Amino acid sequence: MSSAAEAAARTAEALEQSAGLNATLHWSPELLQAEAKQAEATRAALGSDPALFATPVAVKDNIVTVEQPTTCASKILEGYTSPFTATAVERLRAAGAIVACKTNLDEFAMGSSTEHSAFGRVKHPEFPDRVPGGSSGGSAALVAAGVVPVALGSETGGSVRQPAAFCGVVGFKPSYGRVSRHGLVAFASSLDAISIFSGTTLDAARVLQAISGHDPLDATSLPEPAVTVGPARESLAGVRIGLPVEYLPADLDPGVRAAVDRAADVLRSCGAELVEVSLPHTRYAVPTYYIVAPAEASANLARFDGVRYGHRAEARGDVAALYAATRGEGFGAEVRRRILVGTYVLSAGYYDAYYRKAQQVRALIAADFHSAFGQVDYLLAPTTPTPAFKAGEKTDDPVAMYLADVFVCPANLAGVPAVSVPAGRSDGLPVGVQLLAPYRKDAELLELAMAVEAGMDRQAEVR
Amino acid sequence: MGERMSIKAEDVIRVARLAALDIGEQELPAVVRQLDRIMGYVEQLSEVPADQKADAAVVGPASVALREDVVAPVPLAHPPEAMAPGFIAGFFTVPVRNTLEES
Amino acid sequence: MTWETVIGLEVHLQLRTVSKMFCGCSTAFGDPPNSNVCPVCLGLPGALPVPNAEAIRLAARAALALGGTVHDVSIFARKNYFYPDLPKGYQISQFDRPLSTGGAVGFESADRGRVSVGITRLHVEEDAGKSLHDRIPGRTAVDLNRAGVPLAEIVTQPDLRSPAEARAFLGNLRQLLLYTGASDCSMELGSLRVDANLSIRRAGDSRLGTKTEVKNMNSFANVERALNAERDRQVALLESGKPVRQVTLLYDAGTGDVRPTRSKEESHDYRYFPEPDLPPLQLTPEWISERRDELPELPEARRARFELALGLTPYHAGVIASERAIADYFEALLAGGVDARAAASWTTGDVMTAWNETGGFPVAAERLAALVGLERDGIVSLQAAKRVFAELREDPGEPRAIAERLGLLQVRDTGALAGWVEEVVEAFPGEVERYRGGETRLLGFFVGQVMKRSNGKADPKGVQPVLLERLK
Repeated sequence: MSSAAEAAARTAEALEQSAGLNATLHWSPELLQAEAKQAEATRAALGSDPALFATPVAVKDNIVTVEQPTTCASKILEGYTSPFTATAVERLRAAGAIVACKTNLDEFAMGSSTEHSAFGRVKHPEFPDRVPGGSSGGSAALVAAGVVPVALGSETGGSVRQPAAFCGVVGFKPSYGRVSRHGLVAFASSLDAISIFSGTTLDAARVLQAISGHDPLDATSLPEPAVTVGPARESLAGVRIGLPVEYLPADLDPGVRAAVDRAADVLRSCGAELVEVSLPHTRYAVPTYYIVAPAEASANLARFDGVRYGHRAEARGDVAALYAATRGEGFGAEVRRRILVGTYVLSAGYYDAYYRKAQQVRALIAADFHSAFGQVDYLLAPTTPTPAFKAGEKTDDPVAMYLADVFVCPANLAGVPAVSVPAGRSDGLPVGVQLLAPYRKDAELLELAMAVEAGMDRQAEVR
Repeated sequence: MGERMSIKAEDVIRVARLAALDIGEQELPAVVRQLDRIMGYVEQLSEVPADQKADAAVVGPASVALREDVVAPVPLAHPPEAMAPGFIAGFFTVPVRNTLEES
Repeated sequence: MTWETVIGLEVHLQLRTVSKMFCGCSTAFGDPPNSNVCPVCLGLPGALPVPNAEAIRLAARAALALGGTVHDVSIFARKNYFYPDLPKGYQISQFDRPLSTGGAVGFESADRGRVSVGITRLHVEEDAGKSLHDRIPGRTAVDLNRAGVPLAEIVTQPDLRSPAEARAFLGNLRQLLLYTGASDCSMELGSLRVDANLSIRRAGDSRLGTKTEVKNMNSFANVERALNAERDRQVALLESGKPVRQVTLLYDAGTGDVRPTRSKEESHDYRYFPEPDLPPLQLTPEWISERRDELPELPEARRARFELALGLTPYHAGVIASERAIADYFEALLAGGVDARAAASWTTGDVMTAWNETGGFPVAAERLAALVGLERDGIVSLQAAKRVFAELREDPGEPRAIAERLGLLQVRDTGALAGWVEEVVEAFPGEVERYRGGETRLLGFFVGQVMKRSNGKADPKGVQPVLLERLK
């Protein structure tokens, strides 16, 4: 058996054993073996091991692949298989990686707990009554459970960093436009970013090197070649790290607060200088996000109409009735809520008060980052206000669920890169801290994160 | 914004029609309540003075990159008829009046 | 009561590209349904638009030809509505930041003389697909080959005052746009489509009445007919005390009537917002001036030059300059050594007759120039040249060889001419006497007789000196 075939077989076994997490939507041992063959062919063509040779990668099921279905965890796409493959997946394969499975998510990536999946919730790999975070909960759970070393997720408002923190793994959101969105099913186009889960920051860097770089099929893709990440920073002498006061409110969970303090200690011990900074519009980030993202989503999800692909309702009547029935029954409650909100804020008479206003505030939030990065090189902040919450805890109040993203969604609004690294445990539950860098400083950010990671024991209690 | 009008059933019905979404009669009150809660929450943006301005909100390339005019579509691994719920003689089909295709 | 009609137009122009606006699919016309489709124009999940550079170039050229200001920054926007032939549920268009604003196009109004019509804007957008309601019983059939084809939409000010003016203006606009090469401008093939807004008001009133939109007009003649019908409908409503409602009407070419479309329940709330998949379109001043440099001399300027620099009559200058292909042909004749007057006379005569019959130029300009050269040099007569031209439409041979084959070369040999002259002198002794007695205007008579005896082959310029000599 080739080494790729062995990796594929091991992955199949691990996927089998982790079935109880409900983290996957599609995979099969046969497809895994086919992927392994392809990886071997890539190696043979290259004459040496490609960068990610035989590395199994789980892929969130809102990233399209020809081989497996793509459902976005929605009934409206049940049975849909894309006739083209996402650029990021093509690039993973070109680097010798093997696609392990498609992972469960909140329907169309709308949620923070992976409870809003038409195919059932994903369980936290260590605490089954808790959520793994979301919306990329399936990918997070598989990396945390050790089934795969790395996974692709997607962020619109923190959907990788937040579950990474909940599950105790690394979650990296690159700069907006760093990784092609071609083949990522759009939720909110101006925010969406294919993002990476991994056990270690080094692995995240290896995946980024493989999937980044300009793609002519995505007009928002940065006109730059693939990123090259260097080794961990050894000395941080002369490096200034900002602690944004708005991210450290008095009522912050004490475990989370302690994790940030520990990370600050590690940074200081490497020679960095820590200073307080202010991002004054932070508190408007979640309301801004919940106007901008639903507005874009209301248009992005209009294509799911039962005409060309996907689910079609058995409705009687004209074509308008067919649309309404197909979409009404095809979308879950949270997706419908967001489509309604997005349609409302764009509709005649409300556009200025909501959509235009949110664009104004979004610019202010981006300007906050710009001015903070005039004073410091990087920012250190908690990833989430609390560790993983219990399943069902926030499903009745959409706004309570939205607030789980309060510290993560500003980076999406500003387009800057951010990485959450495990920072220890609070009462046994994993806690993460995030580091943020100026726009396009993805490589530098990961080099810093490797240094922080090296200085922290992710299993130790922080309190 | 200031004194926000609360979301009413007719607002939800109007928006649902624009969005081509059936909302069942029984679920309407809950949807109205949730939308009212969300719109009430995002309302706080009105606190930000209108004269506070910053440059363009969206990051990414400053200018759109154009493609040259050549025929080079992304190929389809399987044809439209393999995906379509209704497809006859090369056409996607949808109902006209009170008819639905027999599937 | 007299009513004034106020009309503004929206013209959709298919830009002449080989691939679609936002994807690499072919724009070919007439292919099997749903064969020119890809993830982007099918609106598949995960597909993204990338704009076609050539479409932007052509649209900018058209905008500059209309006298518009092409903006350094314009923004794509989504126009949201549900329709089976609109795959994404939104059309990518431009809204509050179009490619170009301003400009004007003039035309000759039968009622008002020279009229200038203001251009509000020109923006680029993608076409929708085609819904066919009669193809499959009980169903609407959707073909997405057209979905994503690049369009420029031109919106005029409400500066037109009659359906006849609308038609005349469209003729001029089309000619101008053809000059730019931006589009084929064929209403038959759908590469030029016209929607009109029409309202009426009491003569002298400065406020506009309620306007209606008229669609589905497939020729300029039908635009005039449809707008006449709609104007009459509005007049009848107002004169019977009923209000005009803001509706969209479709023209039925069969009955010549306009009828309202089934009113959509939702009013048009298109929820435009900036297209987040596309950064702003930024054009440098250098790029814009390159587009300006690509423009040929436009009809107005060309007409003026033909009149002033070449001395053509205003009529000839106007006719020739109006159609780019005709004017180019005319100038090719000049380049072939034909003088302006002869070129104008040939162009507006036999050449345009052939153009109207065939839609093309069966005789290449170089060949006609050679023929006109024969006539100028006295080798064939003008009459003979016209016969040779008719022959050239079918015969690929050289004009001179054809003239020779038809026996149309003029005879200049003085010996031969003297023979015919001698015959004439002998045949008309009375006239010769009168001529010699001072009635010199009879010279033309003798020339005519010589021509007749030579079956038109004698060169009239050569005949005269021989006659003068003999009649001394």
